[in-house]
Amino acid sequence: MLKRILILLPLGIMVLLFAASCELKRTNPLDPLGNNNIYTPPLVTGLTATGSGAGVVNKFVELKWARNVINTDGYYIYRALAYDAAYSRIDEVGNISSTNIMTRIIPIDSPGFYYFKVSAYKNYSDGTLEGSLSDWTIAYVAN
Amino acid sequence: MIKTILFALLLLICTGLQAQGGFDIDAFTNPQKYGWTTWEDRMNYRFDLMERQKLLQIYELEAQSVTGNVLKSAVFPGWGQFSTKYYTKGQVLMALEIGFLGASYLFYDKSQSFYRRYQNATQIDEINQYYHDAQVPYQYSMVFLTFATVVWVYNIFDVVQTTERYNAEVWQNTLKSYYSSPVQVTPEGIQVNF
Repeated sequence: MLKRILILLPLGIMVLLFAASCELKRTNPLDPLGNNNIYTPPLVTGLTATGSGAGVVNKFVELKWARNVINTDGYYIYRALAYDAAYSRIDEVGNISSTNIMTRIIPIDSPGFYYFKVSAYKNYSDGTLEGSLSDWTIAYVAN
Repeated sequence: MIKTILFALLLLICTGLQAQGGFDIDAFTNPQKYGWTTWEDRMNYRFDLMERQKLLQIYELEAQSVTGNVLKSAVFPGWGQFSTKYYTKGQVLMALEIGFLGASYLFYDKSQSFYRRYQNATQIDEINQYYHDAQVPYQYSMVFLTFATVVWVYNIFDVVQTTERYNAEVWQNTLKSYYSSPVQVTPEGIQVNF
């Protein structure tokens, strides 16, 4: 019995180590860790949102954020009704600005609090890679 | 070239024949070499040999082939142990193998579900999250597959020993049942045990 244990124990440990070191291949063509020529768009920073004031007929929210200099072809804008709710993509904008500040006007139907996030994206031949979503920001649209 | 090879071959054959030497007919036919001093000794030996051959035939009918049982256990772990009537061992090995392979498959299936999402993801956080979600069950799957492999290897190792033990028991039982039978035919005559 001891002989069997002495044979099987090292064998088991070796195979377990082998199994634990097994990794799935990173086959997604947009995965930067699997492709050396793919770069993740930088995180959007400096996001602010300002809601339209009271009595404005065409209500809106004005978003501003710092323009990414590298690895960015455009931005996706997300909106939610609570900071921890599911954010849905509502708009898209190219990385075009005369300054280092990006500005976007989002039309709003009804007054209230709105939460926004923005992410940068980069186009590649295999698709579009979207970066991480920014921290949320809040805007109040008055009645 | 061919002539040289043929000559060398001929030389080799001749040397071999020369090395054999003469055949010793006296040594070959000498009955003393087996320890037979009388005609009765020789008959007793012959009778014993025949009895053993008879027992061997009975043994070969009931004994099991190691190769056959290894093949059975290789195809389905525990099958060889079942054949040798080690039912508990067979059940345990079979249950372990099915359990480990089943767990491995379940984790692999879960892993592949996340892996497909990873392959279709276009957002960096989702790419990383789905890859991680696929990787963890994949490693569990590999670990369980490893256990299944260890059980399979042990099962093959065990079935060889189990079959040898079974065959030894068959031989012992054959001897036991033969010598404890109530009627035996011996050189001295028929022996009846009461």
